[in-house]
Amino acid sequence: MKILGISALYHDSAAALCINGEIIAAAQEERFTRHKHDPTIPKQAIKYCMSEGNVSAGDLDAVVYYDNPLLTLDRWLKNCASLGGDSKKLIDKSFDSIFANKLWIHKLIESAVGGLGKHGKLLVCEHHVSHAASAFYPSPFESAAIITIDGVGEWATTTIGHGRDSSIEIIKQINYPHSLGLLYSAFTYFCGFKVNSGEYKLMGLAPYGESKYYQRIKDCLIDIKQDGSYRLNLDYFEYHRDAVMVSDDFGGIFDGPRRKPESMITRREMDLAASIQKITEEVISRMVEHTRRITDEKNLCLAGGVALNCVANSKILAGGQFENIWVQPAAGDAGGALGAALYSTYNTFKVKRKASGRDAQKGSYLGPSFSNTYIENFLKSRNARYSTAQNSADLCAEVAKMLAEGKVVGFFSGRMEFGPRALGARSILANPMLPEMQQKLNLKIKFRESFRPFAPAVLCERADDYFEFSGESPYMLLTAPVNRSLRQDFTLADYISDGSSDMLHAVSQKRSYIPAVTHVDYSARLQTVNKFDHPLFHQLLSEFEKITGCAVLVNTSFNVRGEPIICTPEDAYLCFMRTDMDVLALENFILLKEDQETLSDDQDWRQMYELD
Amino acid sequence: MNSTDSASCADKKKLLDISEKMFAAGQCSEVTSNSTEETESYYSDKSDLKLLDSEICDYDFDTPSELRTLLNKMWEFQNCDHMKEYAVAATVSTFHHKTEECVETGIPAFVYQF
Repeated sequence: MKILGISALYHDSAAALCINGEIIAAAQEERFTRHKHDPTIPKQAIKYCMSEGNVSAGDLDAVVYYDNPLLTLDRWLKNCASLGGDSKKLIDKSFDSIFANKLWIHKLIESAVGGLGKHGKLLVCEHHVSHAASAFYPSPFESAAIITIDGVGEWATTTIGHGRDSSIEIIKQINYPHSLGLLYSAFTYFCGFKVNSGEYKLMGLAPYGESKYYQRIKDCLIDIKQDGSYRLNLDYFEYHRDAVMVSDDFGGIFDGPRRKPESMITRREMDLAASIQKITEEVISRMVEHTRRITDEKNLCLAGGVALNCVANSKILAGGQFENIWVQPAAGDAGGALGAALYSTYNTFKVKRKASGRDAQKGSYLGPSFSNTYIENFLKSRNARYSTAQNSADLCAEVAKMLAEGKVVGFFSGRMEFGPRALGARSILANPMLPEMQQKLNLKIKFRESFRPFAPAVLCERADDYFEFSGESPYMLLTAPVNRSLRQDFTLADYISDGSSDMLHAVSQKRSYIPAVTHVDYSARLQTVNKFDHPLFHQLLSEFEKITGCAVLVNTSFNVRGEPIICTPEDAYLCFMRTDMDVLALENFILLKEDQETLSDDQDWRQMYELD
Repeated sequence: MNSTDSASCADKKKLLDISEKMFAAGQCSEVTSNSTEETESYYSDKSDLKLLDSEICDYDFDTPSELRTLLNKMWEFQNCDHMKEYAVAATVSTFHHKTEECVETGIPAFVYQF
């Protein structure tokens, strides 16, 4: 059964191909178009997935879209009716999106795919069912409770469900406009970050602050019940009637107006971040407890954009309500493409699912790869100077040696990741023990000043030597504290006070044996690397450990600020040449910056990407 | 102003007029109502929501009448006959804006689209 799933027209459009329930390919359109969060019909991702699976439009059994446009229209019209004459801004904002795009999704997709497969009609799957399917079906569990939380999809903003073998049942739901995802995004917006993009910055800002606005948020903005259900006070929000997130009154309760984007971050934003993070964790924690009670499951699956909040995920794990949790790595809308394809496979076409004990996500390495022949031809066409490793052992030994020397390496290896995290296939790697590494990466490679440390990739079997963590975190969706024995004394209050704040100075202080990946609260956003999912990355970490005694590397996404993560060798080469990266490892080929001629035909690339 | 623009303006006006009428009649007021409830839970049982008869279904129409039928069937299933007031206006808006290619909506990537 060959099923193509598609997400599009909201944000982060993507395609995924599944054959008899096996995930063959999945990719986000932004990686091909180089337009971050690209919401358009994912033509290039569709083309890639079909090529990877060697299927034509006529071979497909069905094409499935991850959202039901009729329900979206239903919600939008009822929203308009509830506002009456005040719905003008809402109508102006969304009219084209709904009537020119969303309702014509069947024609837009048919045109992009070249047909709708043997089924002949587009299948549409409810948005949160798609999320739930993306979380449960690839998980290692035969049965599990499922929680999905995002901004909104059709009506739902939060669901609790139950997956058993091939079936998924949604049991409970919270509807728009009451949305934990939109609440978090409202604070993202108010703190001067970009909605849909800056939520992870807000999460990273939280450890600097104190949750002094926690009670005010509870008093004014959200009523949280014991079972984790909630309701927002809409007086303070505008997203249900305008293109902005919050009303002017919002500033009234949080000591002033919205922070201007790119302006200095003050103590207030730190405290707001800490407060909304605490609220989010409280809601999720209660919801998880309730979910455990009504499903009597020991396993939990999560998806929806809020499931990318790795701090909250770790609190769930630590809470112990569930023995095991599994989070879809492409938890946002991109993953909806995968969920829609899988839901159709197991429900419309009744394929029998068998959980194998390991997850079926294949390490989330589901995107395009490029052969050494392709890469060498490309490098020759650019007159690049390179050396060639004869095998993976030589490659890893050479790259590990340069990492140990403090060089920053662009590492391009195998199939591209599906989901927002770079997991060793399209990564920038560095030595985490060097105190100056964080600043070097930020200023000379990523071109940003960041208060956030980088993420560590660690050999799976050595994770507990460095972190208070047992188990696996292959998708960088959990955090863990750095082991106490590796920490160094550090007092955040020395840098952050009511009168002044110097986050960049604070984050650049050495706090542990691996300072570049240790946050100011000693936490780290962890990727454990196993032999099965990415043997080469595992081998590289092993080589690095042999040389340095450290089984951890800095792993950050291979891109500059505002740019989608690289996809092709061409993207990698350009990013390498435009930044102060020292080394580029493109499969078996190693390029040193010092050997290369300056790019002669480059455009003003800093104008190409809108800052995220 | 070209013909598409003027069709858009007229279609938007029609939707606004219906919304005002619905609002005056108190229809759908619960959607954005701010009233707090004496309740132990804000969850809805999914089985009580009855939005559509299936979580996955075919989506297909070629003519205005087919779309109108889809909309009316949905609102009948939901027991929301008052929403049928929108059926013609929504259908006309949809066919006035039929496109072969995805339309640039003007909504920035960093504003929530829903």
